Amino acid sequence: MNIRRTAVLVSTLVLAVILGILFRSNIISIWSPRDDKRILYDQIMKECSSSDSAISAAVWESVEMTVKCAVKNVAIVEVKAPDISKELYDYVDSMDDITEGGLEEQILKCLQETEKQTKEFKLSYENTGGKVRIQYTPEYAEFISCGLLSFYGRVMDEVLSEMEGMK
Amino acid sequence: MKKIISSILLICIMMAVFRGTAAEAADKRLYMPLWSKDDPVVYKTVYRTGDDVLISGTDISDCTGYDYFVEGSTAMFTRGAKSVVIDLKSRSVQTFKNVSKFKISEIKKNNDEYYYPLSELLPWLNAYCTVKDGTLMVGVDAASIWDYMDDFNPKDFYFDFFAECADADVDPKWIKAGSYVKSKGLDVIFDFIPVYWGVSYGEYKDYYDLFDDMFIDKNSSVYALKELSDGSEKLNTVFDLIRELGEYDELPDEIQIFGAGVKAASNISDVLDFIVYFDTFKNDNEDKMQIIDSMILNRGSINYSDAAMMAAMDIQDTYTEKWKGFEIKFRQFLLEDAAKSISLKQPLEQGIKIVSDVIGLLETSADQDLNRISKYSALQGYGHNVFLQNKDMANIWSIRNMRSHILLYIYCAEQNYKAMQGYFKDIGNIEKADSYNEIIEECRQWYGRFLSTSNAEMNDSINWGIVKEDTDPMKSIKGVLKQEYTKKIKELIPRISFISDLDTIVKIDEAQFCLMDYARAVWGLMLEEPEEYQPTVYLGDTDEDGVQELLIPQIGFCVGRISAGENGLDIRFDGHGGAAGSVYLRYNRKKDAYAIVYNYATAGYVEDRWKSIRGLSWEGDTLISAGYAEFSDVYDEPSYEEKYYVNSIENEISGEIFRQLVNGYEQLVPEDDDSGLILNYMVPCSEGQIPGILNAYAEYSKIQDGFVGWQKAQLTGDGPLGAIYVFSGCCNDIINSKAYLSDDYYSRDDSQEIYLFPNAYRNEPVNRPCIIAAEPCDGGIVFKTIGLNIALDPDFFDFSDQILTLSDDSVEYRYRYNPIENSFESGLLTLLD
Repeated sequence: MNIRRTAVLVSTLVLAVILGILFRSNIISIWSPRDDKRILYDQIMKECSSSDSAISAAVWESVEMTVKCAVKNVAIVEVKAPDISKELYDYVDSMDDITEGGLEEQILKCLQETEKQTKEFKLSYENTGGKVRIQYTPEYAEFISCGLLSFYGRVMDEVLSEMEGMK
Repeated sequence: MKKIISSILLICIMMAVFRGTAAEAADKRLYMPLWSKDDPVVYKTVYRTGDDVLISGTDISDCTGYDYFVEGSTAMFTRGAKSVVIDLKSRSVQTFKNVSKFKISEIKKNNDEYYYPLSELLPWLNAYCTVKDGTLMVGVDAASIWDYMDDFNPKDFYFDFFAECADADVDPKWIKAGSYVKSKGLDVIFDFIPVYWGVSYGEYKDYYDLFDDMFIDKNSSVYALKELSDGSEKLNTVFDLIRELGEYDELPDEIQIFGAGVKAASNISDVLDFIVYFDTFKNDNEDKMQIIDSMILNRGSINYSDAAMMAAMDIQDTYTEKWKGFEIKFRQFLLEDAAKSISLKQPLEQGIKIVSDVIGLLETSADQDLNRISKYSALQGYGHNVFLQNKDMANIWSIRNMRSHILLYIYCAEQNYKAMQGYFKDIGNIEKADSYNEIIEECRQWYGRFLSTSNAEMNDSINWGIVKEDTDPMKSIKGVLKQEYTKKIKELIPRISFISDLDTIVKIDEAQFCLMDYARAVWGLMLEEPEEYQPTVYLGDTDEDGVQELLIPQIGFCVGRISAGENGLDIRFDGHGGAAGSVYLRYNRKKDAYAIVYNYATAGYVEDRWKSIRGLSWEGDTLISAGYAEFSDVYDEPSYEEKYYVNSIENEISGEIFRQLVNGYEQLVPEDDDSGLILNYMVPCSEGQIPGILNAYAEYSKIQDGFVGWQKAQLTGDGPLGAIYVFSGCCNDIINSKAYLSDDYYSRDDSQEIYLFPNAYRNEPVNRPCIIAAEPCDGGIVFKTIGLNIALDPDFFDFSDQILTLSDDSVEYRYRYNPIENSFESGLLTLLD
């Protein structure tokens, strides 16, 4: 009887160990689909933080990002970032002329002083054999650029409207 | 049980009858009414094969306007630069410029005439067909991307908005801010995010909803269909059937047909109702679609907003898809109808008629793909053409036109790509279309940079990640340049010493517009027939380190060409201010002396005369001068007159300039443009060679008679009177400078007060004088054209001593310049910007 009990116990333990290994190695994932959070986070960081530019680096440093989940090719990403577009636009608008140094200083100042906002984004992605391809949305790009994209757009509008005024 | 047996029997009967009919139809030779542009309706011999018809090459030629030839085992359709070549043995088709190669399913020969499957060939002829009132109609697009394929370069579309606007008279702070943010703040983001073009999603959505409302208006048949489908039991049955049929999509055709046949046997009235509604839907929406089509087709000439046009395109695509979806269902219903008719033992002829109709409708359905392919490629062609017309023009209209047509082009490229994929998937016999796919793939990469947020919102399947160029080094410009140009550049290096390190050359900011022109400039280096090519070259010493960067566009830009000359690098400038010229440094080994050949022609005019001057060169041991010519300002009536001729030199460049003038060389800037023009160039040499080169330039300056041609100051008023050329170790080193004042000035009439230096001595910026300074730098001499804030009083200079020592005894005026006080005060010399 003891032998039978021991055998049952050992068998149960072995089965538990095997199942544990299988689950850990994602060979079995019956109860929950694979979460690509980590790999997605790494990919976003890799793509967005590889700039040599001081401004880009500063922008990216101002952004806090959390991949809340990444399952079945859809990721929910929470981003905290300041929106400096208005401050920057007002600055350029108020100046007679600008210099690169002055603009850079102003961008850094705005990045530090502007309060961060929080927003969630749903991003599609593909993970084929560990190679991750993320489909960014314009809203996401706008947000993580801390408003620089929006500023860029407004500047374009400004140029176009000035040109239209000349025609 | 009886029902089951009856059904099985019915199916067996239907299979037998239908198969027999299909087989019969496949071999049946028919006379089919065929419409072409020139003839109202003609009856042509066609063969029906499956769902398609085979039509003779001659008839295709008649309908499409393509020339058609058969030589040996090759048939060829040609129109303009486009050709479609068919190997009659292998049935493989090679389209324009090896764009794609695929195999058509069948070629039939009868009485020395070859017959080709219509639906497989027409897209490549940019033709389309449809069936209307029992007549096959064939039409051809007026233009297509294939017509412009030679000029196609998706990278042309990669330009920097602010660089394009740089010449516009816009407050520079906005230009600076935009350029700075793009280059420094968004350099990573721009790799995978579309450029924001100022079209908001909200604006786009407004337009989209507006168009959408037009289609789902309560008075429209679409709305009626929806209402009826919700409220009518009869139509509900039909729509149930549609939904059910939809599930058959994955099943083999025959099972679908017979399954549908069984279902349809009891629903004939519903089917007829559906046909009525479908017809209404189609007719109603044809009108609306024409409005959308018209907007899209006229977007180049009418200033629709970008958001409106994007929405119009999306609507077009959406409803075309819906339309197609309806047609597929309709087709399936008719298949049921056909099967049912046969099963009711109607006369065989009637059955064939029905099947024939079905085939016609199948063709109509397939035409949707054909039409899409040809229409999209046509729109691509229009888009590309308008883009090219507007390229390099810096005004609001051209930029808008260019931008909208880039969008049009890329949108159509994308859609065309999808349509072609669908089409080939359907016919299932494509061998490969690699080149075209590559082109479109490449286009799609650039697409991400231009489409606005709205397109992405519409779930467009663009994966922004793929535009990151660093994922594949060979897809980057630098990579391509290295791959394609390294070998040739290395061959040229002995002759072009400053191009000693490719990495140095390509140290360009890949986010900048100048990239592409750089590639073109480098390309110009290796052309065997440079006259055939006129790339744009941007020259400048932007960081003022004395080294020519060649690539950075300046506000006062110049265009020109660089090519490998016999003894060095030949640089040709076409200054926007009106000058066109080329610069050579000629070295005479025997005499160990240099001369400058500076060929140029004005593109502006002096007192209604176009002027062209050629420079100085060596011919054997003799230093020779060249001609000076004038043209009438009437482009098409040139009155070339050689004013001054010493000896001839190579005139290929001059010849080209003359041709440009005669053909109508246009000034690229408005008349009131006051931006200066700075032309800097570097002559590579050793330290010991510098004095000789400086002397050569001074001598050259003299013979040029002060006609600089680079600056408006020398091109206005009464003609060329002179410019001062200062050569020194540094332009501020006035003590050791050497200078030359023009012959005209020297011999001026003192009573003429206006004869101050230089001729156009005025305070207006447009007439600021310029000097050319030479500054030795690492590896050579940099020559700079420098604009002066104010004109110099010539009396500040004393040109009394000869210092130039070239061997030509005819040189009379050789001066050393001894400035008096204040002549070069700080602040007088300012680089124009």
